[in-house]
Amino acid sequence: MTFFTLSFFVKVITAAIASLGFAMMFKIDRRHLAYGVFSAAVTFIIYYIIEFFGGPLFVAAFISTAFAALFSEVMARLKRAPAIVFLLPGVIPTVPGGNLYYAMRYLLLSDVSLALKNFTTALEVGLGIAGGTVATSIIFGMTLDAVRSFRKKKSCREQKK
Amino acid sequence: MDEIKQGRHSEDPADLLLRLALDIGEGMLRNGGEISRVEDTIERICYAYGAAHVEVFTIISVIHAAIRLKDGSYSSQMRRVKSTGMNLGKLERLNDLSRRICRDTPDYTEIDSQIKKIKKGSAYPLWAELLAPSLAVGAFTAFFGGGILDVLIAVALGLMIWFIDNLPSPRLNAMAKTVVSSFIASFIATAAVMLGANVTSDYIIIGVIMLLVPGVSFGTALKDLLCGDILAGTMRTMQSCLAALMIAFGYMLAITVLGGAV
Repeated sequence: MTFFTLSFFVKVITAAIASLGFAMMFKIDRRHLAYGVFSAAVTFIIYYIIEFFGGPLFVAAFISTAFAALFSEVMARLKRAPAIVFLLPGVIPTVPGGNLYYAMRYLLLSDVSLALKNFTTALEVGLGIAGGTVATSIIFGMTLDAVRSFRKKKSCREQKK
Repeated sequence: MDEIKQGRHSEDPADLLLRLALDIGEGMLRNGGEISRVEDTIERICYAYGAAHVEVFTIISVIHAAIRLKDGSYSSQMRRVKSTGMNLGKLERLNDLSRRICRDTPDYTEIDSQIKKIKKGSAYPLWAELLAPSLAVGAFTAFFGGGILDVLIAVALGLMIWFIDNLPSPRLNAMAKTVVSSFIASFIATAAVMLGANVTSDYIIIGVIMLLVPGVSFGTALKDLLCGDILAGTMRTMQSCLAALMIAFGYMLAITVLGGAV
């Protein structure tokens, strides 16, 4: 396995630290910080693996942030806090800031094709993040509603008996 | 007589209930709560205290709500929310409070004092507030490939951005702050390279820009759009596009002043 290189570990650790910094900037309650950082590390590892094996960046962003969203919804129920508290730190390392910067830089250097390439990559990843998180939260919410209404019907029937 | 002293003599039950619900909703919007959460919270609180009908309309800077109680009294109020920031700790406490209100329906004075307590409280001491941007910027500089010296310069710039962000001047709005921050970061990083420091300006600028990139607000914008809050979503999309433009503007200004990229 060649992707367990030094740079991989450096990236995972720095992604986790950066996410901790952002979580603190968002003033997330101290009790919840560790879960967000854990989510960030796992999300980034998923993203990295899919990217490493040549998957499109949209898919990498979609699947990795879908994990972050699922994790945040589950933690929100367990810890009784808004899901956003666990979601935001989790998706921070996948935000395509680097691509946006290079798009800007190449635009300045009049290299339009490279600028456009970086910009479309940033857009691709951004849409992947939004799609992954929204789809997961909606599906999770719908599943929960379905389970709840099923339970309600069941208890109603039992009461009638 | 007591009520007159508290300044509440003119408020009828509908006004008072809606005011408290709006206090909580406004606090949530101000501290980074989602549109749907704000609307949902106000509705739930009003219904918990016996409202017959509740209508709430929220966009990113305005909450407008109207309620009708079962006795027919009616109230309609509006809140303008001018500054929004991210304080998820406060959001969480407000969320807890609203959940408790709906479950126990405590009396209004207790809710009032709880809201005041949450508004005042700050979860982080100063050193933690300074540590946060340092960690974020330093780690992202290393993440994108920077060395030790790059990280140190980036941390210094990150602290400067924190300082700019916390300037008490109301004239310097969020957009202006973004331009100034982006300009200073790009200027110092590029100037350091030009003066012969052994650093890479790319990594430093990316690390610092991660603080300014409207990634979170772009994500929220898309989420609002996909969830059907078209108006709020459009406004937020515009807001994040403008922020991205402002970053580019500050960067290009710095490079132009210094006479070309390195």
